[in-house]
Amino acid sequence: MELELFRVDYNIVGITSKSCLKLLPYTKIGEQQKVVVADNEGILQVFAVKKEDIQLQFKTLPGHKITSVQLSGEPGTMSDKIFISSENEVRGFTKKGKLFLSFDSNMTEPITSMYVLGNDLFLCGKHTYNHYKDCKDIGSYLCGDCIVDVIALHINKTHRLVALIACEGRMIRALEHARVTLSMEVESSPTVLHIYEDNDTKLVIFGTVDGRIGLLDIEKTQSFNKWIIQDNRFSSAISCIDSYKMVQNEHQNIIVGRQDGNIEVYSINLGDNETSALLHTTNCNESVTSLCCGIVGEANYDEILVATYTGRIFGLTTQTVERNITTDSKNYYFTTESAQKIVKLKNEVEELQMRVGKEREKYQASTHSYMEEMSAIPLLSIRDSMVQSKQDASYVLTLEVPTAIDNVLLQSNVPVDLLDVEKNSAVVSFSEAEPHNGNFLLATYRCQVNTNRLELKIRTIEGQYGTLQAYVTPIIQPKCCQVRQFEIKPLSMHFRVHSIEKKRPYNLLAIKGLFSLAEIHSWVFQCIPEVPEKPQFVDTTTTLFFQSTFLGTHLECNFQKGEAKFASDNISTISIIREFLTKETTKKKIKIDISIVVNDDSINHILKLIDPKLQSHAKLSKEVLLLDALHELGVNDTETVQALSTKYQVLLEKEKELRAEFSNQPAYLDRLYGIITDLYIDYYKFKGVSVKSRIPKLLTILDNYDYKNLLLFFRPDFEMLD
Amino acid sequence: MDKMIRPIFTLELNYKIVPGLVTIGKYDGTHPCLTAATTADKVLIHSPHRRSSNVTGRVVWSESNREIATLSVNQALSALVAGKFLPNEDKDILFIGTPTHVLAYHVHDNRDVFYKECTDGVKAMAIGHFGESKNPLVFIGGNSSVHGLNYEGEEVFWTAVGDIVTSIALVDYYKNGVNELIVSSEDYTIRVYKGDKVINENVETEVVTGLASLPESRFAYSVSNGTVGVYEQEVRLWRVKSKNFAISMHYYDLLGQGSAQLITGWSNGKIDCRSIKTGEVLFKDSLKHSIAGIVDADYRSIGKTDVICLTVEGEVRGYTTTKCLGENGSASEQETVRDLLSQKQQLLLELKQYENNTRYNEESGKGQEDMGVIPASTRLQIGIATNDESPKPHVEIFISTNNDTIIRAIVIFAEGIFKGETNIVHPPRTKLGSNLSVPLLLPKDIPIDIHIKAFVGYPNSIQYHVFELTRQLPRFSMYSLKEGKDKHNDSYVEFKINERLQRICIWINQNFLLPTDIEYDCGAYLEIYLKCLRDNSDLVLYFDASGKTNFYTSNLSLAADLIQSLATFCKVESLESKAHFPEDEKRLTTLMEVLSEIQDSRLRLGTDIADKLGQIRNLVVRAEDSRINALEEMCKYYDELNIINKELINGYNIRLSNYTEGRESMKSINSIIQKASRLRVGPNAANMIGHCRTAIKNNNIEMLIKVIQNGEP
Repeated sequence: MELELFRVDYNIVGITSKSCLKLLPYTKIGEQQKVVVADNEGILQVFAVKKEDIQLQFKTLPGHKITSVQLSGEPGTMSDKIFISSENEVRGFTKKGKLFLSFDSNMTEPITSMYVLGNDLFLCGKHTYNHYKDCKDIGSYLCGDCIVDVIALHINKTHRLVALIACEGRMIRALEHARVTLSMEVESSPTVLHIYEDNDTKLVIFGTVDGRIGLLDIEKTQSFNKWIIQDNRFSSAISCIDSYKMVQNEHQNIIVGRQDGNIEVYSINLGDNETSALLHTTNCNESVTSLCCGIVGEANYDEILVATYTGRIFGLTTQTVERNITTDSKNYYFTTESAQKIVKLKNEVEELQMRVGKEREKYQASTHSYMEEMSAIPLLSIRDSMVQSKQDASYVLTLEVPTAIDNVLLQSNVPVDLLDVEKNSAVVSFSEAEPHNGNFLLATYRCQVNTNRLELKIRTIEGQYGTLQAYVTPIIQPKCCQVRQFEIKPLSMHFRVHSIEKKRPYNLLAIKGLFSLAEIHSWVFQCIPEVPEKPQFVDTTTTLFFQSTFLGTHLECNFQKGEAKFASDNISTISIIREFLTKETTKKKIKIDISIVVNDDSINHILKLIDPKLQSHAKLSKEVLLLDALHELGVNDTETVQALSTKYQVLLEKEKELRAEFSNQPAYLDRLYGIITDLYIDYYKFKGVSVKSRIPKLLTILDNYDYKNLLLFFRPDFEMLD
Repeated sequence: MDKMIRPIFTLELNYKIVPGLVTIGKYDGTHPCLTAATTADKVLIHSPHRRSSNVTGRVVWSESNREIATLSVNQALSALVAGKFLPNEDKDILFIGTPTHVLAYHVHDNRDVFYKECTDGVKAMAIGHFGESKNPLVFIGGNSSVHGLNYEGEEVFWTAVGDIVTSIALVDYYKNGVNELIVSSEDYTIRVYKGDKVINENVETEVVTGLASLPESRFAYSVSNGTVGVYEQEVRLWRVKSKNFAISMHYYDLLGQGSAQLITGWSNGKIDCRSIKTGEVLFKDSLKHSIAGIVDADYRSIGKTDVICLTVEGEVRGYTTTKCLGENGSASEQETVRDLLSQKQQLLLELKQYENNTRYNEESGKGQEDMGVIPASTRLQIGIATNDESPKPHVEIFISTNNDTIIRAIVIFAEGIFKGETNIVHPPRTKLGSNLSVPLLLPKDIPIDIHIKAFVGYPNSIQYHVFELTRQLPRFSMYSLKEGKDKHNDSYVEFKINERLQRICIWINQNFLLPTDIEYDCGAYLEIYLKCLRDNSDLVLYFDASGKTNFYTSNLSLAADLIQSLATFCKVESLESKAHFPEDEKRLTTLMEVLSEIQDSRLRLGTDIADKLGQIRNLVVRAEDSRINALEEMCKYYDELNIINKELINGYNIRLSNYTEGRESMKSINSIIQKASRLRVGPNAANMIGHCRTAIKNNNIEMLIKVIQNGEP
């Protein structure tokens, strides 16, 4: 690591949301900055750190959850005015804590994100965007997608004011005067926007749910430019970005906080084609909600101030802690300031313990009284997410609680596989499944001490849909547990794309009937992931494109009132949609006409797609077998190895990678076989033939795989051209 | 900042190592050599201090790495241990265990000390002083027994274990300077032997895979479900469970605390250093591959030992005592602050819970069912009983609430009775109610602690209250009272115990799950008819006022368990009994006959091989001869050779099945002996085993049965 940072803990507050932390600007270079932090209990506080002690400037009373904190000021002055948003209200405070603005936005939805630029105020709810100038509404926009973040900036050349909103449907929209002027498609759902200012250039960068950071080009090409931080494996979602010169360099560094608790510092050079270089990484085991860079703990030392979901505020400082180690004995000793701090904290904890003890007794007593008292435990706030991991076609489920988790009970009414996650140290135990009781999966995760966050990996089977429930029990007294439900959709292995290849052989499914747009939209929403929650009213027909994570097959959906068309190169996908829609329409007693056009050539196409996967897997298993055989020979010495043919030598060299690859996909082949079997059954189902009895024969063909034989088995009358 | 202990040396052996088969020996008396078994069934000896390379013989020095030598034994390796063994010699002897033999090899002199057949196999070995012996003994654990051999290869110790031995350790259990033997076996048990006598037995929840002796009469154990724990004599100090498996355990003072810590190597490549007393993790590091073994030795010739970790891929890392952490502990100021802050956070959160509760009660009247508000007086009632009416009799746990709240789900944590560690009952939404019953099938007669967590709320709640209960199921839970009186079973065990019948009643009530407590008023005897829920077999307990006691059951091991439990309860030091188990006796007779047949045929087969080998040699010479002289003849000879080869393979398969059968019968015999010995308590049990051994050696079936019946010939 080129950069060494040391963790210093400052304070704890309530649970925080994203963009809840800011640093007030300094008046003198190198001066310590004050920390502004707001939490879900509605408390906004500003504090400074003096000699390791917290000096509170001011603190508001608890109220509604604060969703965003922004700093701004009159143009030309310092940005030291604090704006907070909660429910649908915006309040402004001076740095001394004086309330100077209380503004009711009259928005129909609670505010989820806010941006303040001079006299312009931008507020976004889940689906609405509002622009206010001097607290006067000057425009709004209704978005079908879910809006996750908003920023605004003046374009360098034209000095026009442009607002950008990041939408969950893989889209970043630019608005001028509340009209969409630009829709920029990105590959993955954005989570956060940030303005990167470096040497008079202003650029917009964004983070995504799959852990990448991309650059937008607003001025020239007006579209997505390139990925600047990209990891090939799945990494956790980006939750916040900041830019700062952590290392004295020409360009600003990018500092990223992730949902899995990783804090990373990158050096980038945008002019170059070269990608970023990682300078530092730390993991704090709690998801990071917000981070700011500046000078906090000690004058003249740069640091990254971090707020985590559970409300911890800590810094990663460039100041070394080595001053606390005397050179001769190499022992740690406590400096007087920190000793005082520790004593103070200890006293606080003791006092709290006393109070909790009393309350505990009171609660115990209430359970023994015959009065009609109730036992009400406030709802735990649990942060959860279930994100598709495209690399291995699975879902990553994360659960985070503000206190340590005792255990998690997982229950599912559809068959799913739980995969092992390296990061997760909890002891998993499977209980016998009872399909007759709707329990296809019953498992407990017993967490090790101090686990606030649990990450699980789940593999679903397309066509099997239902609900996965997680009962989360934290360790806190009085013990309670909360259920979280996750829908597993019929086409769970699909994700949205912006376009598809038109040339593929497509199978078509068309339905007609007396259904409304809302109805068909909700069916599609229930069937496929990443469909916007609300239908877009602008167009008469909605067209959506999807791609399968496992096979890469495409799906196109076209629907409007009374009519829907689906096209996919995979017959199984069409079959799943048909089954689902028939079920849903029967439930609502809506009559529909279904017509299906099967394209026989799509079979060749799919088998061609699977072919390389089967081939490479067969090769891999053969190589692993060979490796075992080679080890039987006991070749370990270099001289004996050299006596082997080059093929075997290469094999031995690559052994580790091969074995890792092999063990990473234990059920890979089974999955492929499953897909082919489904395809076979579905293909013939559309032809009105039941082929259940011929499945064993299909499996024997697969075991001695050959593309031509397999194709012939699927289409006995098909004539090979070559 | 994080405590860092960096390895002081690392090196690559470039051999793949079998996990667990790692030891270290000073074969020349001064320089330690890391010794391990490779996956190619060779013994690898790493001698970084080798001066001369004149050692020849069995050991083959590698040409690429001058420090590595390999030794082939042409058999699969199953155990490896090195240590001082010969009297008046300070050079370590290497013991190599294979499925059929044990080789005591003097590496420095390149000679075999002895090469002995072990029909029972070699599964684990340990060297050390034991009991009265002046010289170290080597203990060999096999499929069902433990042998102790002295330096001449003579058997000086033997005991039956009952299942495959997984690990052996020698520990000074009573801190009196004399070692006791600790043996773990696949029946989840750790047994402690003082001389021939079993002085303690601990039953774990899964197969115990490893043992390691620790200072101060402690020992560490690891279980195949990922548990590691430490015992101090009979008391378990701590245990922890993780999702990986402990491969190797070793004690070493890594942190310079003056006393040793337990270093554990895990299957995922982690090593951790824990306090022996509390199990607290003091340091951890991670290697790329699974650990194969951990040993300590003065590997740098500096007069102080280092702890050496070896992975399955042949990576070696050495760590040494690192003092920089200081005596006062451990945590740096930042860590202290962090800990205090999290404590504060936790307390604040709890306080908030209570405050909200009070506020809710003050403003009562809001029916928020989904938040899981339940009457404060909600209680959980639990009943445990045997259920012999269902088609599959079981122990039933019945849980209900005392009002209209429902139980959403129940999680039962218990070890050893489920597939995993939990059993979950999650009824479908339509069948939710205020009570639930959970059937339990207990595979073994051991007392089990069960921890029940019940999620209580209303059908539409999204948050539930969790009620936690802990219960202990008595040892003999799987037996229920039986109506009526049947004829007594003809298998029984009879003994005399001097205890009042009232006390016996207490024992019964404590150890069985009966609907009402048994009471003894008066009368000449107490008789209880029971039925086993597993196989519906009968069990009759008969206690005469005179002290004569009979247990009627056809299950030998159940009788043994009952006697052991009763003896512990009454604190009986010594107990002799008469046993009559015709079925087991009959089985024993057949097994003994099978065994002697096998031994006969083994001899015959042996001569057959020698014969065939002669023929082969002859044919090969002839065939090659005719290659030069008469080419047409060659085919004929090779055809013949092929036939003989096939015969040899056939013969091998016969011998293999013979061997397996022999091993299985030996195991069954030993298991019966072991159970029979548990019908007795104290010295009687040890004596009985001795007598049995003599009877088996002399192949005297009558005597063996007599010993089992009466405890003596």
